[in-house]
Amino acid sequence: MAGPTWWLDILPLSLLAGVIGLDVVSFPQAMISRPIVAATLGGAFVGAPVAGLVCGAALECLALEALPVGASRYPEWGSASVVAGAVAATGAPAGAMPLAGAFAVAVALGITTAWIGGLSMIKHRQIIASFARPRLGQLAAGNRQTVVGLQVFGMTLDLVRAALLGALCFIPGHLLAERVNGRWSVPEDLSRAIVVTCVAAVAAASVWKDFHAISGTRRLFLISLAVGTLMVVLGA
Amino acid sequence: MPEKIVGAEALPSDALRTDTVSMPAVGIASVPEMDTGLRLSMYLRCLAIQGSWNYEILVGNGVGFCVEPALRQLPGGIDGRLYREALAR
Repeated sequence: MAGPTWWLDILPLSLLAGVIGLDVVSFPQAMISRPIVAATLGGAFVGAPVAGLVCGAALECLALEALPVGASRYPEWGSASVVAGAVAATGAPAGAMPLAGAFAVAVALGITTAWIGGLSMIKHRQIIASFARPRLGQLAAGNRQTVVGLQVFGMTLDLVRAALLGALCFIPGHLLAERVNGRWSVPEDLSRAIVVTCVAAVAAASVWKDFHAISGTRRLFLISLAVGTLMVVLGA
Repeated sequence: MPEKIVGAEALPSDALRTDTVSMPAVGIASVPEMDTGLRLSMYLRCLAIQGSWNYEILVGNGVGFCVEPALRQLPGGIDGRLYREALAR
């Protein structure tokens, strides 16, 4: 009799979370850490990309609110979305929507992991500063090894931070999603509607804020909405 | 043609340097060409510019990391005084 094999996913998922977490700030900021991409990848790694995509769309609505610039402190949505996308795929066959229980757990876990990830980023930056402090003299002297070494240290630490975060949050998340799937009694449509309404409210508030802050946003929003609606209608 | 500064003849020879460190007043024509490999190297490093971002020296080390390949072309090379001074800036 074959035992559970979900733990085999921990290593690839934590590596993916590490790479995606690295993309948030350190390297290369190619937007693969946006929830809609990262969660889809997380779902794909455990065999259910559509479940990951649906979860990623929900998390993207929440992530719209954060503006990650400069020294601002914000949730780390990259590795959190990988974890959430993989958890949303619990029990879902490839190409199918996520099960209602797993979807609810995944969104809640995504928010929690992003919050913990944000705190870990602050700690990460403090560790880099403490690593750099004794070497300020060498930096001021233009020492090449110190400059390159500090950069490599920072990026490596970020990779390890995000990978650990991914592994540590995926394990309890997956176990919880399995249990919740078995006991979930709220109708699937109602469950999804509640989650989607909550995240849509946050997204609407974020977009409304942008309407008043950035010129041309309304026009771009309407064009995007029209194109998106057309694609959904044509694809249906 | 460079603009002539009135009274410059009376100043010490190093008084017209552009900053407080010893940057040589080299002409535009003496700036070496950057080949494609060097540009690519700097571009890739630019993607990692925030790799060592922290609350004390901010992005300063990242900027040094990005321009470091180009600084190797300064007179004296990687062991030269100009290279170290530029990297320190």
